[in-house]
Amino acid sequence: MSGAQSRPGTARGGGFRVVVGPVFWAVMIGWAGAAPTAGHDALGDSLRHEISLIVGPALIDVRVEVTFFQFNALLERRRMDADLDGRISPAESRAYLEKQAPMLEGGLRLTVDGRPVELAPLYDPRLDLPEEAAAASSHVLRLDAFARTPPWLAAGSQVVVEDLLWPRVPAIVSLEAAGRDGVRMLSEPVTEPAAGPDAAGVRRLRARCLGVPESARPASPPASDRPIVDVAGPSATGPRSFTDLWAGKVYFSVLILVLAGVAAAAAARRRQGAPS
Amino acid sequence: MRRPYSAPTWSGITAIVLLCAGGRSAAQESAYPGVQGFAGELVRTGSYLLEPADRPTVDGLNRRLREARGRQREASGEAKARAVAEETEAAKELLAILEANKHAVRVAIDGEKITPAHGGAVTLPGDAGAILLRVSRGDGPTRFVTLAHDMSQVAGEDVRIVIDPVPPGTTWALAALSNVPVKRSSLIVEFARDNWRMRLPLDVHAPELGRLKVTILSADTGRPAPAMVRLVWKTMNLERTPANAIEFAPQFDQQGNPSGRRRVQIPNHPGEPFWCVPGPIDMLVPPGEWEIHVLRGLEHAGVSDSFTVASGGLTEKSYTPARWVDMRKLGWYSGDDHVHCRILSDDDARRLMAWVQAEGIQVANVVKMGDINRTWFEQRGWGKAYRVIEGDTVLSPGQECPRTHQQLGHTLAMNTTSMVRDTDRYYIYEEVADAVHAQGGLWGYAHVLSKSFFVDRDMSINVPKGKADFVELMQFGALGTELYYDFLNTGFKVTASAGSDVPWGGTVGEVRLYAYVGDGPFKVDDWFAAVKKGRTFTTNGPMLEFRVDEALPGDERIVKDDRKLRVRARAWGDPRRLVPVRLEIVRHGEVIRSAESTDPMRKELALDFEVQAGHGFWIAARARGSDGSVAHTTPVYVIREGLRFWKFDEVEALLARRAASLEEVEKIVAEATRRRDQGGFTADRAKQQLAVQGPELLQRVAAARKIYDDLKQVAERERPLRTPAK
Repeated sequence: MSGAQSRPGTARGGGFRVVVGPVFWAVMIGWAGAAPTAGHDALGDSLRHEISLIVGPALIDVRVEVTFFQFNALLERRRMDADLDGRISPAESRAYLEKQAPMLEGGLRLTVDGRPVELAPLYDPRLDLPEEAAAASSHVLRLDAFARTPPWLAAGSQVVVEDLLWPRVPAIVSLEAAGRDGVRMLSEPVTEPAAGPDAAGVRRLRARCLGVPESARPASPPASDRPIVDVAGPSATGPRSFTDLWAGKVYFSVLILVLAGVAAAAAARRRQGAPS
Repeated sequence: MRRPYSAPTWSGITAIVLLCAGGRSAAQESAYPGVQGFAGELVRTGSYLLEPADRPTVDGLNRRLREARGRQREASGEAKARAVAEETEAAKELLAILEANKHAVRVAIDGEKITPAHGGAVTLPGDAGAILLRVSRGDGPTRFVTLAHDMSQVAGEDVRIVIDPVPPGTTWALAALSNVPVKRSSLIVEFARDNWRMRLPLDVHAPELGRLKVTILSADTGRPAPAMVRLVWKTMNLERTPANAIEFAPQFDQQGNPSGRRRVQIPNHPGEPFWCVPGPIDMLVPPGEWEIHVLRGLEHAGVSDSFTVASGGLTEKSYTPARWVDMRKLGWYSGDDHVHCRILSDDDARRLMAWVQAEGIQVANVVKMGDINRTWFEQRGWGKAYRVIEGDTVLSPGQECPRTHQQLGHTLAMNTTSMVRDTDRYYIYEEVADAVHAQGGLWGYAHVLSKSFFVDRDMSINVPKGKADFVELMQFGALGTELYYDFLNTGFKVTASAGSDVPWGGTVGEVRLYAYVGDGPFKVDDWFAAVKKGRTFTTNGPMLEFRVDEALPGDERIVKDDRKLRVRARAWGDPRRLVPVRLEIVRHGEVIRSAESTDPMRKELALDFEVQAGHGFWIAARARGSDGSVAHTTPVYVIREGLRFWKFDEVEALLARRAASLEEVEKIVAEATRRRDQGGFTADRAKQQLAVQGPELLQRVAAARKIYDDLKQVAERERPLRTPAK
């Protein structure tokens, strides 16, 4: 007998888990970043970030495929394989993706002419895990996101995808840009494909808009949409996983203090023979 | 293997503590749990269940739901309440569409009774499909779930789809099925409630498959030819692997992306994977709408087509991807300097040959890879006897070795007669270069575009000695020139090359070098000779022609005085693939002339102008294509008699950078020696051997430093000869 288990779609709580995710991944990333030669290691220890950008008059679609090779692939598989049976069941891959969701959703940002544009997931993240033993040393994580094309997109506009996924793990990054429904796009060459992210952990990949036909001018977004974030300030749609690290640290510190206090109080009560 | 992920113990404890602690959700739960995932899957794979008019509506609802969800997480107070309202509104619109859906299987659970007792028959569009279920269990909220079930993975004979739990209220479930047998299959849907399950028998009916025959013809011969193919069953937006697709995994030694599913760059289809098929495809496929994309390498336009396959019917398609250019007719033959693939048998060779032909390159440098510990991608042998030749396509054995990640970089050799490898002298790259040259081969550096693996260090030792024939300027869709220009500006001639580095790269020939061999029948030895002369350009898109007077890339143009030189360059493409958007002439790394176009139908950009020879320089052409592709030639070296062609004004800084690279070599040798002397490195042969071989390596460093010191003297001697150039 076999059975497919259902799962509730993407519903997740916030609060404590919002803090747990960033801190957990910060630790994991710190782990990865602790490698003394990160950024100059073998290609097998690098990730491949292949980003596709399709710009249309109404919508911008962004797809990222992160390929894990060799060591990183095996490491991630080990994380997925909760029952340690050597196989990744659908339930295990779902659980893995759900754990990663906060980091993944905050792992991409988009700007057009320097102005942030809200990016939302289009589908749930997917894993492409080869079953064949000969190909098990590599797998692909797919992320699909989209944005409403901002009304200021015009010929000459620069569209920048900011990639914050696994910023401390060496990566080969590339961007392929294409237009849709009359919009013409050109990828800017990535001249340093193995280069690491900037100090803020951001890899920026650029494309230029060559033309937006008048007939395909972006329509004004519905009133309920919120495509623009204040240009001057930090992006409100920024990656919670990373920008909230300080909040996570504060929360963690408070938690530790509270736990320590509770433990101390309990110990004191025990010493005094008080009922617990 | 070194553990790249190490962390302070407290960090691990922190993570464990936090994970174990769990947490109470403070965020407002959605009124419709799971609706985003459900809507996404409905759009992505289940849209055939919707009325055509509803499909764009549901796509829009999925986007609204996800935006609203994101805003709920980011916002607070009134903004959060507004986002919740947006989500609720979109969910209600989705529900209205679902309630009217005629494909939904509606089930009511009332106490211990399930109605209907049998779910009836669900017709699937093919050997995959989805079941849309509406399960009502009294009053309560509405929730959404998605499931995926692969019927080829059933261990026993029963097929059970479990929806767990089914709480009071309404549950909408979308169960995706794959590998469904043709015609009727009976399965059980189980609804979990409390401590027991209710079962609903249900039949699914998959239609008879249709037969699809696809032949891809060569534009040159009219005969079936290998090609890169992508097949998509549009009904469910599912990729389907062509029946005869080549699986390269066993030949990739678990390295890189060890699969035959390769990502190929094609304008307007970014990021899409293709398979290599060696000949006509003949396979059974589910009926419905299909999409096919066919590629035959950079010199051909891609083909995209849509067609319908009828259940039980035969669909025959034939495609001939058109050439937009045949560089062979202009005397230029293409190659990939960096192809990793095991060849231990004729079958191995046939598979790789099909791939190389599908991508339309003539020479694949098939490299066995090594480090100080071991090798990968075994080959049967080296030399002419082990070349695999079919028409004008040649698989030529080579090597990527020596190859050190944290010391001196990766190196490549082409056209060798044996594997050159001595791990007791692994860091003395010069000896490998000499051995390769003695065999009549070519030697150069990999990954120079990205300065990876500290390749600048050994380049600083051996380029000034004239050991390097070529460097990789292009890889992974990118061009990188910083290090290349440094060496050219210091007055060293090095040829531009390119390599895909599959299985780390996408596909063979996605970046390539063209070498000019001229007229006449193609001989691979002529090609290697042309690379040796530097008559190359690299590209992943635009084609380039470049001449200074009659000199081709790699040639010297020696002048006695400051005379005029005619510079001609042409970059071209084709609107069916790409057109050039910019052509630049680069002298000493600086653009001195350029042409630009934004016309998507303009095939060609050209420059024809005169430049003064001055005191000499290197000069090259580079171009960009409308799809983001790039191209770069090896320079023409304009040499004024008695002077180097270097960038004289920056010689001091250039030599300082080389000295810095040499100092790094001295430092890593010193550090390795110190650690070895302290008893370290017992298990790290790479570092242990660096200490052992260090003294010899340092002799090479000293020799290189002497060359740079001499160049400082040359600069001083040249200074008075360099009157201000016109």
